[in-house]
Amino acid sequence: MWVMIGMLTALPSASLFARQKARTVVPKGMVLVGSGVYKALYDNGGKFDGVDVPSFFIDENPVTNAEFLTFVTQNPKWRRSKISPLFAESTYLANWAGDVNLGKLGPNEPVTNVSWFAAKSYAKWKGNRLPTVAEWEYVAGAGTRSARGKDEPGFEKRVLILTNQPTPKPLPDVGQSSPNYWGVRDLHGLVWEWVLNFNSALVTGESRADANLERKLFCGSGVVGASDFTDYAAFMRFAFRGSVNASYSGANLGFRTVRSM
Amino acid sequence: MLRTLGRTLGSEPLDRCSMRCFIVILTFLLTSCTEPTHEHVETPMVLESDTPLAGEYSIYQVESTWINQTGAEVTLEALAGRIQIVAMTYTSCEMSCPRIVAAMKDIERQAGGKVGLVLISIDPERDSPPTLAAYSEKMGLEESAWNLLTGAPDDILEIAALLGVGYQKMPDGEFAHSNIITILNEEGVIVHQQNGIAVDLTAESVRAVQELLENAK
Amino acid sequence: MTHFFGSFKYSLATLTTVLILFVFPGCQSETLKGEEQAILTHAPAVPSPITRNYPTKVIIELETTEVVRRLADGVDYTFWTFGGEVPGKFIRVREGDQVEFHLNNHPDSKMPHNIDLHAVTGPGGGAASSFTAPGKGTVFSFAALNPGLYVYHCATAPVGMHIANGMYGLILVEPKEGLPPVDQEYYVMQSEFYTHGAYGEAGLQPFDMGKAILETPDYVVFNGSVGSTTGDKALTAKVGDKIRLFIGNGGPNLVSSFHVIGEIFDLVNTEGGSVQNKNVQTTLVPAGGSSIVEFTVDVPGTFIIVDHSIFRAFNKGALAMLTVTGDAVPEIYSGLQAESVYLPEGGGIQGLSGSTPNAFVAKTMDERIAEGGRIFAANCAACHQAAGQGIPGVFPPLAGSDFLMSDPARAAGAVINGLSGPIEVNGVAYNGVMPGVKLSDEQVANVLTYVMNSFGNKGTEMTPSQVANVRAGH
Repeated sequence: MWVMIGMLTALPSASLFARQKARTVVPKGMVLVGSGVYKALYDNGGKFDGVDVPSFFIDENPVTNAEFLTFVTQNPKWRRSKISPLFAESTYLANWAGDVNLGKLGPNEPVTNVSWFAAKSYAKWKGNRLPTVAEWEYVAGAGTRSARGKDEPGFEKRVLILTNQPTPKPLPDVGQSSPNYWGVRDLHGLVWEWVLNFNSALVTGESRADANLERKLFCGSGVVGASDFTDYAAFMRFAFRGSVNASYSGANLGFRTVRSM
Repeated sequence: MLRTLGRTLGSEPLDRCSMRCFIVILTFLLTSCTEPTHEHVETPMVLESDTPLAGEYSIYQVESTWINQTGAEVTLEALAGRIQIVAMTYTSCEMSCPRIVAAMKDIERQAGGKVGLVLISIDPERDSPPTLAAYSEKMGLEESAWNLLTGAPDDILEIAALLGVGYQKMPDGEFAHSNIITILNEEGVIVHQQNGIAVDLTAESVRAVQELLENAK
Repeated sequence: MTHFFGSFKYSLATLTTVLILFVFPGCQSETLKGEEQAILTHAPAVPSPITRNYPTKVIIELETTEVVRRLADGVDYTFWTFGGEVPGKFIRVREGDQVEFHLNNHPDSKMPHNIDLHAVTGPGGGAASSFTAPGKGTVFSFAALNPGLYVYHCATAPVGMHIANGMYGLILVEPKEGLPPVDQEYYVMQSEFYTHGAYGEAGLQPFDMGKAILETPDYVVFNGSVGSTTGDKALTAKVGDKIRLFIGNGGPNLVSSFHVIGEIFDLVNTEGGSVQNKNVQTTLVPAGGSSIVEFTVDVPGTFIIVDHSIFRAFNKGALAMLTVTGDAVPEIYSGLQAESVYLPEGGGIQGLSGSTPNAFVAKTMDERIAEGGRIFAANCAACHQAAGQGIPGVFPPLAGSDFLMSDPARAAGAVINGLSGPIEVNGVAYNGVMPGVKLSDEQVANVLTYVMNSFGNKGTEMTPSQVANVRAGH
């Protein structure tokens, strides 16, 4: 599993970010995230430096039912009656009343029951893409006042509580939580979110052995030793990503998109 | 207990077995006489529920283009019509990838029929068509049977998702990746996957290919 | 002699085979016969003993769910469960059985889960093979090779948290010769909970990682909640019954000093294994371990089950009950001695962390009674019982209590300062120790108003100023 958790070593200079923000045209519904470094949680005993994350745009909120409805209306291939079973499980959009009918669902609730293939295709349709693990974790690691939430008192505890609580039913509309430092909302506690390389998390399910993966199953030696054993919320996210395959279309899983600068 | 007994009889020369040994054996038989026999429990990777309808589950539905070791453009659909043995590797991998290739060759040889073999690179930055060609030559891969493919990072991720392969580039440039060998039928439907390169797992793949060859007759 | 047997040696294997096949026909290796669906039970019930004398294929279906449930009165917690309750359902198979395990994760679950059964011989105890996303199901099989009582638990990262939230249970692999028959079998599993609020603090309490790492739980409970197995939910038996308890400890951190007050275990299968110890007072149950105890109840009464790390029993909830009915047997137990040996010494003020004075101020007598009920449940019910009936000879009753109703100020004094030494309540002598409870004047007034107007009692309101007078020594 031993991939990454947002522990940032180098931070963007706040004033630099402000200047960058001032001269950038930000796409509608998205916010600008300044560059930084994202350090692996499972980083082979601290041997490796973090991953550079260049500046990018990210959706302020998760994709909503209404937005996804527009997508499937324009792209019949992705309607629930049309989709190939290769690309989605039978639970795909199972909470909708029909192919292009939300039924009782709120249009501004986050879309769920979508597969990775569908999410990826939606992002492409929007001219965007899915965020990488590094990008998502980097954004989600921001607090309310700084890019490094871990330095803010109570941040990790709050994130853990949000992550731990059951998914509310019905789901609330997106955008109701307060924005983080980058202006992004609902990263914790609303729904899980697809990331582009979700399957890079080599989680076996035997979490206690993941720090020492068997060579016969996994090539590569760089997957031992976590750098931070206290970020339980991150452990949960990685466990979740590791438990699903790309056609998974569960009730607690939505997504948001990003765009490179 | 019988297992213990079997080991005793098998591993020690009988002439060292004394009267006492014989009594011990008798005692075993009398006191705890049963040892259940168990069928071998198979745990192959199983596909989602129902028998796949051909076509619906074909991974050849994916619209992506690839370049092989000869520099030719290849669509996945072009692989149809032949049983394919597929793995995702990269050429500079020195640990498990050569063993995956060896296992694939084993499967082909032991199955004893005409099959195609596909290596999809997870390292498109370094694995250009000439690199793939050099690797093919080094490993002795028959050009008529083998396709070594490279493509766009996004397409590679997608095919990995379909094959259930996880991989992660490590900061030192190497990749951590699962060692999965997939058997596709003529239509591109996954019929068997082996997760690991142990000999007994390879034997199961051989059986899967043989079954497909049998059905094709 | 040696020579004789030496000449015999080559026929030894043949002879053995002959013995197996003909001399001891019952000793042929057991082959699996048939197939059955296992019936699983919620604590404290245990599935019926296995009557088969052959191994079979057993199919087990277990569902993981995440539910909000009561942890203590007024306190809720988000439990992650095997089968909807904590502890997980009890599984019973026979040595030699082939178990086909179906783990289904409810679609409403937020987390992926898996299962590590300590009864499994194989990597991870099944954990990797059963890693299951919400709304999915997985299947794996294992052979129940070793008889014994085993813990199972979730092993998804972060493991400690999955266990801390309630994901554990017991699987019994009965030896092929079976277990000797008893009159009652029960399932009791201890575990601890780490909450943001202190013990008794009302509301939905989230998991507290800091306390879990420090191993300082707020709750140590049997069968998933404070009071799960007390009062009318107590285990029951009749005088003369032989009782077998299957005890597990889910942890995640603490080792249990499992004890039944007023009983001696005739037999203990230490750590759930095959070695039996006799005449044991307290048995250690490790986190992620088990114990099987057997004893015969010779006299009637209520037997209190505790973790004899005793503050856990009285301040954190580690208390269950076994109610035995039947005729008294005075030659075994006279009935005059009080069970007080296990109480913390002294009548000093017991600092109840959960009773930090809160801002609630009752405006009416009804409000006072309502709030008092909550305080009673958190601080008093463990001994005086939910219906105020007490436990005869041990904890005096509050329901219809002459001692209480005749002198409310004395009662207030008992709550504030504690009470020890001989007293008489409704004609029955008690000689125990009640620790003082750290409550505010408002809280003492509320709880006393509650008890004086509950359980059939009809009394007046007690006010905080009256309590203050008592506290000041007037």
